[in-house]
Amino acid sequence: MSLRAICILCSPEDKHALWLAIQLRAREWQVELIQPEELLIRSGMQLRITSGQTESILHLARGMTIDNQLGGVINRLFTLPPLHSESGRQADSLYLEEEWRAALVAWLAALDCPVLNRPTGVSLYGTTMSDACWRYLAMQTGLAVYPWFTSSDFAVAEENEKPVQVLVAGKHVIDPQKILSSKMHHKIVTLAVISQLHLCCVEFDYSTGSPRLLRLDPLLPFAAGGDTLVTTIEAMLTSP
Amino acid sequence: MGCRKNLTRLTMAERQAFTNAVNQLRADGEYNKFVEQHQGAMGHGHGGPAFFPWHREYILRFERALQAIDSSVNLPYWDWTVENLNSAGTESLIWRNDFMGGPGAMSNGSMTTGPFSDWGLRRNAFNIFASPGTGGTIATRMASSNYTTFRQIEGPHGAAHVWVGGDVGNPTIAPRDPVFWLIHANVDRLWSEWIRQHQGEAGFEPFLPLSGGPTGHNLNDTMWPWNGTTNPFGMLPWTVSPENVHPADLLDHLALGYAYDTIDRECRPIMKARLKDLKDRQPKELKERLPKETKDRLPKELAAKERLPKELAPKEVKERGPKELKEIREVPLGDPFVRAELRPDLSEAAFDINQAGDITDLQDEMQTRQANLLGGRNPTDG
Repeated sequence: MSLRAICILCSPEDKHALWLAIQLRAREWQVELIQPEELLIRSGMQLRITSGQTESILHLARGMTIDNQLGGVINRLFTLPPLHSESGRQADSLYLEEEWRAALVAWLAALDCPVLNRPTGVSLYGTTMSDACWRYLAMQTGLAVYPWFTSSDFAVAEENEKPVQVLVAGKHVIDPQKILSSKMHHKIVTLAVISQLHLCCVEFDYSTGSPRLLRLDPLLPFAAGGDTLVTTIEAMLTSP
Repeated sequence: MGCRKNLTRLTMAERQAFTNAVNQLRADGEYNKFVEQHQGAMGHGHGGPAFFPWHREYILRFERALQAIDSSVNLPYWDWTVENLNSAGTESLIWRNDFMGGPGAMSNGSMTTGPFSDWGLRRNAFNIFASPGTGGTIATRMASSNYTTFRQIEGPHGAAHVWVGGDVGNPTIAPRDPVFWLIHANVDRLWSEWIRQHQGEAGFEPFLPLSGGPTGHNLNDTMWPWNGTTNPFGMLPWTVSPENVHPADLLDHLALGYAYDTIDRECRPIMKARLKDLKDRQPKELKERLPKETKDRLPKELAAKERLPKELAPKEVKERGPKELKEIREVPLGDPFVRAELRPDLSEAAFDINQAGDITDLQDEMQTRQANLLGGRNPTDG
């Protein structure tokens, strides 16, 4: 595959991923859509790990081979289909599932090309945390955050206002409603970088007129970012 | 015994009671605790054998919280494999302003209709006359008596989440949208139906593994967060008094105090009540007809006399004619609770990301590839 060839790992129901594929193809990218089942069923994976480099080759049942010539990966995997072993033993099936999951995480982690986002040990599609953790981390970067409640009189105000979404792609912030200052853009990018998220959606409460962070989500709605987001993603794929 | 019904069979009053109770639970500050529990259970209640029992306990607790507000409320379920339209096919019975509200706006996904319009929810701008489908995949999984195969329904369940999109399409915050509870009541119903379908078969196990699986996923493991631990999931526990809830405790839904309208006779009294309502609405002359069992006991020659020619029928019947009587009988079985003023604005669904022909083509292509890959079989060879 050439450097203008990328893969989007997603399910057929992930319409934002399909929307992105259409946009990139219109800009002359070769985009292969690969679904979770294709990664696991009748596929083959070779990982060659040496002290100097890691090489990987993934063969799909439809005859496609994905190697180190890949230009990039947009990773939208959040679940894998369960497998069951030919032995019929449940323990074997669980072992098989975990091994495949680990192999895929290793493959995505080791690819030389840009992978947006890379998986973590516990999440296939990038860093995920509870709202409490996101807010704590955001506070460390100097962002105003929505208060965290753990008592029984849990605040409901948070839910009464529609959160405002801001999209982050690399070092670019797409802020359709222009609620954030440029200083805040910088802090959000910092938060995304320390969370190892290349792509994410950040939600803010804006009920008081000043934005307070609610949470981050690695699965951002691409279509909401429009052409600007597509252009930014293109740049990330060509110059990581 | 509570009866969980298909949402298309709810009466207006039942719809209102459900949405009112959900709104009240949120106003009481309890709703978000459920959202947080689900977020904390991403690595526990998902992607493994405990998916079904964990969610059974989880939605049961939610249902009980609603019943503490209004004891008449039971969780309805959304069979997402079909379109859930009214009998005329002119209206969705789920995406309505008196129930779940409509799709999200095309521009930013905001959902601003229905009883949850002020929740700040987001959804895809989906077509309310369509459905996520996946019926074929579910039927294949249901046909197997092996739990490991059956639990692959977690995949098509995910399709329902993703199809609605927005909050419920995001696994970490999915329960923020009340549609979540309808999706998972359906998942739970499928487990119950699958057990009922296969329980007589030799060696059948309604849940696996018995042991040897990851923590929390074995038949007799306790499940987080109800066991009160912070390990191994590292989230704040919401449980003040720890309880040992095991998958083994959750295999029989009837023992948990609820039934499903598709498989349990316990739901029949409700149907009888509705038939009684129907009878009350029938014209007097129909009620006065002889019951069938009485007619059967009559000598043939007497029974024949009841079939009067039209000119000899009671005046009211003659005036209305048979067509109108038929319509009266059919009303409660069709769509009795649709009121024009409650119909959603369908214009939102007319132009959306789902409608783009290119996306549909890509979806079709991927689904064909998936079907070819599975070949009607389960993934076995990695």
